[in-house]
Amino acid sequence: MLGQVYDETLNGSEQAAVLRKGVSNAVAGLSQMVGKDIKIASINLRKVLVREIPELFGGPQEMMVGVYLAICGNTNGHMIAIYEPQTAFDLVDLLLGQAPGTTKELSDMEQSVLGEVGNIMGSFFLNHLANTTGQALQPSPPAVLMDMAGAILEVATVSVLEQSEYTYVIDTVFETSDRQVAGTFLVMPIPGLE
Amino acid sequence: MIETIVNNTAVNQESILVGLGELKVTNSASVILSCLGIGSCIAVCVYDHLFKVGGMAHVVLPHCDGKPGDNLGKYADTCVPLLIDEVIKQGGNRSRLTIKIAGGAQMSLALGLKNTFKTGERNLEEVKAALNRQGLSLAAADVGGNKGRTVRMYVNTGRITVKTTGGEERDL
Repeated sequence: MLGQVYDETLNGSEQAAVLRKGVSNAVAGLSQMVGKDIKIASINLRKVLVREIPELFGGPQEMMVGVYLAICGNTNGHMIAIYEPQTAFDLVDLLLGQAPGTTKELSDMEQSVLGEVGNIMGSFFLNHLANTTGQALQPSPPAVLMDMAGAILEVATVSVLEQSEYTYVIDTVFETSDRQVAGTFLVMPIPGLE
Repeated sequence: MIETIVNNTAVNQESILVGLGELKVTNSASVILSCLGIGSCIAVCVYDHLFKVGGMAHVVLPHCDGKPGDNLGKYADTCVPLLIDEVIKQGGNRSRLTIKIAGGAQMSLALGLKNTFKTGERNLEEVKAALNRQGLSLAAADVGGNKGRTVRMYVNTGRITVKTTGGEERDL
């Protein structure tokens, strides 16, 4: 579990409303791709210690699949879609129209599929921010990693730690009602609050 | 951030996480210091076999810019001397220190992540340079590659292990 949260007052703000809509659009994009009704289970906007972020995923040692996209434009930031490995495999099967259980590892094709999903989510999120704030923001090409959560998150956490021990994050848990598709979409730092 | 763990009388082994930018030193035999899921970061492990004092640092970045109030444990160049000093304060002797490191991977070669390529390599160079400046040498290193690692130091024996994603825990 995450330790202390250093600021949750963001939640009620106008900026939070923009961010929540952006995240909702991202999850809606995933829903469209997958052809299933994917709901948001929770959205949290808060200021936390960077070193505690892996606790959001059960700890830095947990094996996860992460799809990382840098935020490019006049804001620096990071977006990562994180899944438990079996859920990521199931998602690939769903997207490729394969029988559940077909995918057992992530080679180029599977990484490409997950990368595309991440790209859609990232684009939908950033498009909403760009439309609302007028900033030109695009996602980088995606990088798909299957590794321990700490190592996956380092791409973002190391970058943020160059500036500060703390950061604002949005973490959004999304899932279908049967939890066949489930994951977390993480953005850090929150654009505009770097 | 530096944390010194004083002697405790716990019978069971206690795993103590050394998080990003942290540095922990102990003479408590029941402790296992660990850096979990490190990528480009480097776990620097220092041990005195005679007095059984162990220290582990989780280095994140190569070089400190000197920002006031910054956490010196994050940077290879400031963290290494701090770690050595803490181990000595806890009873270690410079001439008896065994130093081993692990980590410094390049986590991804995807486009758009060009800047992250170099962090692991640069961390490694700076850790080695910092040790040289201390007049100390490396006993062992498990570095590079593109997978995460978990590093553990069993303070009762000084045994250090590395488990790379997809592999087994093995001695360093």
